[in-house]
Amino acid sequence: MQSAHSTHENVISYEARRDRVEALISRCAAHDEEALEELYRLVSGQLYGVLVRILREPALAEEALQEVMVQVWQRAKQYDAYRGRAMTWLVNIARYRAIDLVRQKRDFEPLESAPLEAITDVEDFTEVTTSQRSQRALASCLEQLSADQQRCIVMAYADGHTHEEIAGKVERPVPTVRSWIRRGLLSLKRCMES
Amino acid sequence: MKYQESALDELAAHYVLGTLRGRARTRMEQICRRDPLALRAVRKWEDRLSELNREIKSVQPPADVWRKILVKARRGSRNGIRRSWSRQMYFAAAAALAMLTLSIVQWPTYQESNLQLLATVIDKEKAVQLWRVERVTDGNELQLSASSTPLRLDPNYSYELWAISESGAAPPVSLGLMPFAGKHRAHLSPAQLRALEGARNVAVSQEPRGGSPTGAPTGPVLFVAPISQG
Repeated sequence: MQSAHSTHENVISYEARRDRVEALISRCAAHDEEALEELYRLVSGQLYGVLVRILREPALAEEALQEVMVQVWQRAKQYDAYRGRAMTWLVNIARYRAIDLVRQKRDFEPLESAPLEAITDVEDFTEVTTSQRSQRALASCLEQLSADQQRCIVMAYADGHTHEEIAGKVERPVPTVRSWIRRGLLSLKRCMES
Repeated sequence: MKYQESALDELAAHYVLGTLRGRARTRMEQICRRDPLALRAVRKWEDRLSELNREIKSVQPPADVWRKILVKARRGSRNGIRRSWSRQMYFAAAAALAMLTLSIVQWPTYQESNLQLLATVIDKEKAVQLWRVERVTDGNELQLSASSTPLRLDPNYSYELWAISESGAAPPVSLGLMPFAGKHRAHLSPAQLRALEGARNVAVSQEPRGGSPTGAPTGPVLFVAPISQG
């Protein structure tokens, strides 16, 4: 379904969107509710998409989206350490929350630790900023992986599947899947560093 | 434990990919809190894999989600300002409620056959029972049960259970987060089992949501309960 939000996401350029999201996060740090609302309009479709895909339960994903946006509101002051990678910051807050919720549902394990995004770390990570150029390099490197490696990595990252679940879906042994993923990640790293 | 750089990088990759699960995932989070290199490795993998975000289609959330977010965000923002006011109101209400609570609310007295009661956490000031801490006798697990009475605790925080060593010399060991309602089971690692066996008391501290970011209590210790012997 093409939503009004996703349409809005598509019509603005990568840089304009990144800059706008960054500016809005900065205003959220000053507790500007209008900024939070605009940020929500701009990113909620993508974050909800992440949550629905991993959690597979719309009601749970709605709850998680609320938590994620409130976290962003409360932690916006910490964003300076991530400058230049706004969407990566936001998407991973959502992904890590979804993975924790899946873990709680499956294993009844306590959520013993705050997600990494809760860490107040002042170290500057701007040097690892992903520019549009490196995004293109990343796309190119992903294309160099074998079809099996790509498929398994996407199933883990985007769907939140474990090695065992992926093995069941692709009907291959777990060690084979582990090996595909491990080698795929190593190839990706080498390609990105070359 | 020191990790070689390559092993750390692989752990970081699996953390970001999501294939690092359970206690290994929790452990990686703990490593990242004290090791900037580990955190940097995670950030680099987040960037390397960010292209995969394009695989995920946007989905419009229901219209009422924004309103709920706004309510929660405002509640969080005003907490600091309204805390002293709300605390006065809270205590006044709690005092009145305590009388009712004691007479109306009966803590379930039945005991599941595979559970051993370790401690009952009571808010003595308000004379209400908050949680029951039980050991699952046929497994290395704790069962943490919230009182059937809705807990009047600030939802902007988490409440973390700690084993307090008998001598007080060893640092408190986290046993998990207390539920706001219902019950959940927490798996005990060998270290947690040892800590529990050497403990005379358990304590509950108020922590940032998700639990202590340091592995040690960071907020005020609100409640202490003795561990039942035998």
